[in-house]
Amino acid sequence: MSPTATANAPGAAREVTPPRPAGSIGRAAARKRKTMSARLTSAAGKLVALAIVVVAWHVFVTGPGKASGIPTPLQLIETGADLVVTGQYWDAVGNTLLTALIGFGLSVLIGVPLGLVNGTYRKVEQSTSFVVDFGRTIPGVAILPLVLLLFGGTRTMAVVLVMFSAVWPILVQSTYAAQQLSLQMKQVARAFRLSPTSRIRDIYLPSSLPFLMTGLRIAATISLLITISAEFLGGADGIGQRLYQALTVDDTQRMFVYVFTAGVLGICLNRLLVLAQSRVLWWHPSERVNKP
Amino acid sequence: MVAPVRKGEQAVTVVRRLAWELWLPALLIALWAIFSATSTDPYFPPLSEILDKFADVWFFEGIRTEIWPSLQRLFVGFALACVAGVGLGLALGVMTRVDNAVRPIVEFLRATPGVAILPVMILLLGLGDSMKVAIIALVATWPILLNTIDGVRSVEPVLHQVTASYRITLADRIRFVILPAASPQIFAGARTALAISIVAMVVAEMVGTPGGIGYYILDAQRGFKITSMWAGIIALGILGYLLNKLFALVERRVLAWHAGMTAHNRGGK
Repeated sequence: MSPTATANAPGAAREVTPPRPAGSIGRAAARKRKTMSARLTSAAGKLVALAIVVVAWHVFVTGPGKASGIPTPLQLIETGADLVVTGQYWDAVGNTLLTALIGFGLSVLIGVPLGLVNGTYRKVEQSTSFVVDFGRTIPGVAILPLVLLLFGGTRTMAVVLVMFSAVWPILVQSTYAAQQLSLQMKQVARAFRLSPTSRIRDIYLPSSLPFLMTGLRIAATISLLITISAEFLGGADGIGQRLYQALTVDDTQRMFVYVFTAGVLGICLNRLLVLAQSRVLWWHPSERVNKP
Repeated sequence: MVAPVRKGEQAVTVVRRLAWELWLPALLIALWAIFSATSTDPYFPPLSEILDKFADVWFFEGIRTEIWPSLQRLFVGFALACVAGVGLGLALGVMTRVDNAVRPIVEFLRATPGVAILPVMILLLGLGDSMKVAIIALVATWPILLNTIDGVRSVEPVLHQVTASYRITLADRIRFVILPAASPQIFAGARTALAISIVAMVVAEMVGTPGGIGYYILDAQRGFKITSMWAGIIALGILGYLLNKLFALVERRVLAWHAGMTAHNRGGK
């Protein structure tokens, strides 16, 4: 297994909470109270940190950063409230999400089968290793001018760019996934004469899913990033294009609303992926280690 | 002891492996050359023309005027991100409470796609070099920061107890216990950071003031200098590949002890 795979393995880059101290069953109630108060303290800490950031932001904007025209937190909320009731705001959000989703979906359709074949046959992997290595290290935005020439500022342009960037992590992780299957497991399957369905369900999927999920997570994040880049630089409709518009007409209020929208989309995507992973991989050690 | 015969065999296996690895790229390039040779499509000029242009543009004037400035920005930004990410990561990793309090903010900033922050940077710093370096540093900081925190947390509790009972100072603890233990994770974060900082570099150059390889490619496209654009894209691809290889080399050097340890734990030599 390569170092990248180890680093990207599920749970490797996730937050690690220290295991709760073990206590006897009789102390369960006391422990529960304690975790309650611990939770309150933790929430209070988060609120304080947030408050400090908001105040610092306000002070910066009304003081030294006044010339930049950055909105204060309050102004941002006001502009945001005005904007989220408009259809054009949701058009932008919807367009960005749709573009990212199409690009991501196509990357999965292409990357997973190719990666699995790649990982199953050693000679195929050797033959493609240089091409894959080269492809995945090319910064995806490099071909932006080319796809702009070919497709103009359209969704197709953005989707092609997303595919060009997102297909590689999926392909690479699928390759690892296919290589995870140990010879012993294959022999066990043959000795027990497992049916093909059972083989897939009980042997192939469990060993490969953690790697596939990692690939999907990386690719989903890249898809959103590249979609917004393509919109920003290429002019396909979406959040990125609205950001560019706001920048060119110097409408900082609106610009900040879209910056925050992008952030919220990013964090929603993240949560969704973590949730999906814990649903699909609930049995995997990386998912169980921190759960009570 | 390695017998000379074994050496010869090794050489044969190396050659055979290289042959297996190189036939497909060679075939692809040959196909490209053959199919584009008679191409009249303005967007896909013959490969020979692109390569002529490539040699013409990049050797050696272009390397100095376009690629070198790009690399400088990238290195400065990436270095800043490493310092900030590891420094803050160590601090937050040690101070659990503070980490817990700022975690939602860090997660939010990390999840925000880097390009969305670009207009804010332009607003604050203009279109020049400081904006480009700042955006590279900003997007590259988060993966390093979060992985450093994870790495610090993953230090064996027993090691903490040992250092505590020997009353080892915090500075020594960081230098000899925490940093080595966290370094594999830090490098994993830095690898991700490098990839996205190259993307950030290209995007920032495309919107920023003239200069740099990103600007070069987009400018060539806008001026319909298609062979120049292709030469730029190829150069950028090679650049990304080489930077990654360089990073892997540094990682292997710095983490040589770790690879040895993992192999040992798995029952190897």
